[in-house]
Amino acid sequence: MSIFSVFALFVFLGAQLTGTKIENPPVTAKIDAPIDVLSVLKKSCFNCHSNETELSWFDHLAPISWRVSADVKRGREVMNFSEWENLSEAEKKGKLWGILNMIKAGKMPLPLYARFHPSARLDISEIETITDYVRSYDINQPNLSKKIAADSEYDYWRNEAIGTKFDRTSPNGIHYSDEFKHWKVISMANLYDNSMRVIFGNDIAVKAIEREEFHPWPEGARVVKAVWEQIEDKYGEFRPGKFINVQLMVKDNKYSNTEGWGFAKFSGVDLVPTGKLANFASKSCISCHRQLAEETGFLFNVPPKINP
Amino acid sequence: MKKTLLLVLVALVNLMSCKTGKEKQIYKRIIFDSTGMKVITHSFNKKLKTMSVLYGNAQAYNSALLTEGKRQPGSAYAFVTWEFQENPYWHGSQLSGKLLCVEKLSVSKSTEEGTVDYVVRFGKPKPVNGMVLSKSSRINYILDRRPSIQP
Repeated sequence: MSIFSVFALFVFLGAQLTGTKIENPPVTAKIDAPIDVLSVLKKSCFNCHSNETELSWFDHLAPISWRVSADVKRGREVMNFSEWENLSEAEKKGKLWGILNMIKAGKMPLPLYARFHPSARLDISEIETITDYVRSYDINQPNLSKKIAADSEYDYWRNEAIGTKFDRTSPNGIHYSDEFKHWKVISMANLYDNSMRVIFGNDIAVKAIEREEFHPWPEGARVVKAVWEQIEDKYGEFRPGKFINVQLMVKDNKYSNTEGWGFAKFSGVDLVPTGKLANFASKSCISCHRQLAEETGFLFNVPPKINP
Repeated sequence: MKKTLLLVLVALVNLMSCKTGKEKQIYKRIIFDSTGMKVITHSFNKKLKTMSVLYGNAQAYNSALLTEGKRQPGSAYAFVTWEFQENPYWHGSQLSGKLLCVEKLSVSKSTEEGTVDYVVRFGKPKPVNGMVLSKSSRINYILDRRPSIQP
């Protein structure tokens, strides 16, 4: 055995002493889903996104264990199926669509992880299982009850809440302002049967889109997405029902953990801010934006290129 | 001579069609200029694959909000319709794309009730539920909308 081999062996054995052990905290609010869905999630997602992590023997060896440990920590922060039932219905819906999109885009399971754990990969029928579950989760309440709820909220807003200057601030310091109502519409979007959205941009954002300045977007660009429920009208078309939330993206380099974008969300007619800590977006919003919308500088609803 | 003229003509036509071909390759991200008008509400039609925004000036917005849709003289509206397409970045989502039609409406001051002037500025309105609406039905279809809830 050469001196180099002996040295390498000592380094390897020494590294094992630095290994980080992955603990499994108690399962407090495990996801309640059909057995076929649970089976797919357990096989492909639970190792990083639950408190029921079951690693292979080689995952415990340094330096692999260092990477695995970091992935599990990050995975649990972003989404934890062992604490799933603590989420609100809106949060569950949002995360389910995130799961489906990450899987369909081949971003999850993480490609490096899947290379060493090929059984975690989803086959076509497993992707269909998740697709059906996510879509059925969105089945609407009857149109009539949604209309009644929207009418009631409209009356409240028009007669009492309109003109209220809400002093609302996201935990990361982004203030709510209704100045977006005077900005240009950059696009509109639907999410399946779930919601309908109008996306507004300030002048800096509009110019950036027209000039394709996405890498990076100019400082000061602001994009606001207003989201409503869908209600079918007498023409068989869909109009906005209850107001769901308004979401802001503010380009400011001080938000370096989230690709230079500050995120904020204010929900309901009373505009309740989302998040408890200033870094909430680094544990939720940015994951999908970073993985799926890099091409447009991390925005999903930039208007597509059109031949006029 | 005739042959030469013909050749020149053919060459010219080819050149022009080349230019047209190049122009067809220009793909841009286009944002509609609402000239300061505000969004009153929006809608979409799954069958037609269209999304529309009803814009209005301050007078139009206030009359939609405060007078139960009674048309006030001085109100100006734009009803703008786009085709929608699948969002390439988010499965399950559709995104507005190509501009299809711009309709402009204004309520003149000539009568108490307010006469609505209607003009199509771009494109052609699509039939609603397979029916081509008369001008007055089209006006009602566009203006019979309350503002979306915008806190």
